[in-house]
Parts: sequence; C-alpha cells; structure tokens
Amino acid sequence: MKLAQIAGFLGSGKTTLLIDVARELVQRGHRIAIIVNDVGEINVDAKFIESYGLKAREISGGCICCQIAGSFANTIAVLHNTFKPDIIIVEPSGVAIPWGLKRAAEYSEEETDVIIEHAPVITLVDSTRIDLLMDAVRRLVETQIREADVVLINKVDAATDEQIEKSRTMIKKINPTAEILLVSGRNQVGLKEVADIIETRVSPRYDEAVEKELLRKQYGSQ
Amino acid sequence: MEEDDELHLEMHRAADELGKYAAKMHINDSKGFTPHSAKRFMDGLLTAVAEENFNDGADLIGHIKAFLTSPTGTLMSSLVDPKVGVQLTSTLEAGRFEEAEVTLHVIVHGIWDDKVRDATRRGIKKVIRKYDLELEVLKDHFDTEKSIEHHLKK
Repeated sequence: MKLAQIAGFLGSGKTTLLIDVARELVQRGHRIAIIVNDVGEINVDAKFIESYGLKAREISGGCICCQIAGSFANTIAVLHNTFKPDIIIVEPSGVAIPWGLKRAAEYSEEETDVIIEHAPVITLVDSTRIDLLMDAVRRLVETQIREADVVLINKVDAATDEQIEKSRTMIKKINPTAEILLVSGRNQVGLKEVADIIETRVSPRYDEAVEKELLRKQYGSQ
Repeated sequence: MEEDDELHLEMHRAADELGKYAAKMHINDSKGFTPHSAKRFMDGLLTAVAEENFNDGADLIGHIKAFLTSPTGTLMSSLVDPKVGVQLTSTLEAGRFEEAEVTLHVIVHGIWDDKVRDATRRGIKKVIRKYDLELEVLKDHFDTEKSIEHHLKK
C-alpha cells in the first residue's frame, strides 16, 4: 500500500490539490483514502473532502509524526483492513516532519499485514505569498521544503513572474535536489503530473540516520 | 529526554509560531437562510474574524476556514489572503433553512491563542448582530488548543 504526503504551509492549497489529485487517481482506477491531520481538536477539511464523495479520516489533537503517531499507524491499519485502499494520501499538519511521518506510517506494519511504500514527499509553496511567508514563518517553510522530494510552486495563475522566480530560487537554495513543478490548483495546471508522481514513483523508507542528519542540519550543532 | 527527541521537539517549537482558535456553533435565522444569504453570512464571518485578528496584531493568516452543515447541503469557506477574498464552495440546494451548524477554525501568525480567541469572538458577535441571527457556541476549543504542550514556547 502506498502512502503519499502532501505537505505545505497553511493556505498553500493542500486541500484543493489533494481533492483534485484524489479524484484523478480514482478515475484511473485506484482505491484512494485520505487522512487529514491537525494539531488542534477541530479539522474542517475532512468534512469538506467527504462532501466530494471521497473516503477521509480525520486525526486531530496532535501531530501525527510524533505526538499521536500511534493513532496514525492505527488509522492506516484500520483503513487497510476495512476499506483496502491502494493509495492513502495524507495531508499532515503544518508542523509535521515528513521523515517522522514516514516512520509513524511504518509503525502500522506492526499492527496488520501491510507493507508501506512511500510516494515522493510533495511540498506546496504559495507563490503569491512568498514574501509574507519568508518574513513570518521562514523556518517552517524552509523545513517543509528541505524534506521534500518534489516542491510544487502553487497558484502560478495568480502570481507574478517575479514571485514565481523568487520561489524557485529560494527552493533551489534550500533543497538543490528537489524537483520543482509549477502548478495551479484553481486551474488544475499540473494536476495530472502530480497524480503521475504519486502513482508511479517511490521515495525511500524511513531511515533513522537520514532523519537525524536532516534535523541536525537545521537545529543541531548551533 | 534523548538527544534526538530534543531535536524533534525543538523543531516543532520553532515551527509552530501560530495562534489558534476553533469553535463549533449552532446558528438560527428565523427568516430562513437562502443559499445566497448563507454565502453572504459566511463571507462576512470570515472577513470580520480576519479584520479583528489583524486589528489585534496578527500579521499573516495561516487559514481561516468555516464549514456550514444544513439540511439542504454544505458550504465550505476559506480565507487565506484578504486581497483574494473569501473562497466559497457550496452544495446548498435551492430553498430555505433556519438552522445550521458551523465549525470555525482560525490560525494566524503574530498573536497567541488567547488574543486569537478574543478577536475571533468579537468578529463572530459583529456578524451575528449584523445579520440578526441567534448563535450558540456548542464547543469552544480554546482550552484544548492551549493545552497542547508543543504549542507552548518555553
């Protein structure tokens, strides 16, 4: 069973993209489940996603990469046993660490007969608010970009060329190996490419050494 | 605490610089909501909440979202960028309804949970008065938000 993370700061367009990608994958014959997570007790996204006829599970009250990793693993196991999706798309909270989330997902292998495969970690960047975001929440945005395999510069239909170029330069500086795609959730630009990435490609499984290195690069040795 | 756990916690604390508030509410319009008036209400609600939060020192919206559930369908509203305005997605069918449940979720940068709560409550009151509605807060999630340990700066 494949697990796909769509990360990104609040307001970056995760839910909109997730719904469209999920519908595209359903059309391609996949059985898709969605897990949305928020650190607070309320998450309105699951209700919204279900209003599109998609299978959604909400995990609230903590971050699924650490605080409530057990609930996340259990939810994956239950979905596997009952709904039997071949792909689970996860919209993590704005503070989740992608590598931590991989580890938490793999815990589900201890709960049921499932092998987790990871799609490339996708991070969305809101190109229309790039200056605001880098002023206000730089560290968080940088972390989400650093741990991504693919970074989507979103809302390109509404952004200026300068904003798009600034986003691209920033992403390359933070994560030189990340693949960069320009997308527009509103106009469904790049939608099929994102679905292809989730459908056909894989990302490494959790590796403690890699996570330690990523964390130390940013927060260790200071 | 293990060194790696400390790094992990440090990362979360550094990342989580956002004030949050959430509430589940029951609203009643004795005149009856139409799909149009429900959209106007949700637009007004999110706009007023954003304004009050900015007035109190917020400098960036994480997101302000509200989901309305009624007997005739649902209405999702989202505000990220005031320049872009409130985005609405509706499945409301034609016809009137008097009662609905609204779940509101506010995350902003620049002020902490208690200020977000106060500003949001003011925004809600404003809109309720403006549209002459009755409102009951079914559940207020301030205490829960506040109690999540890794939201707390030490």
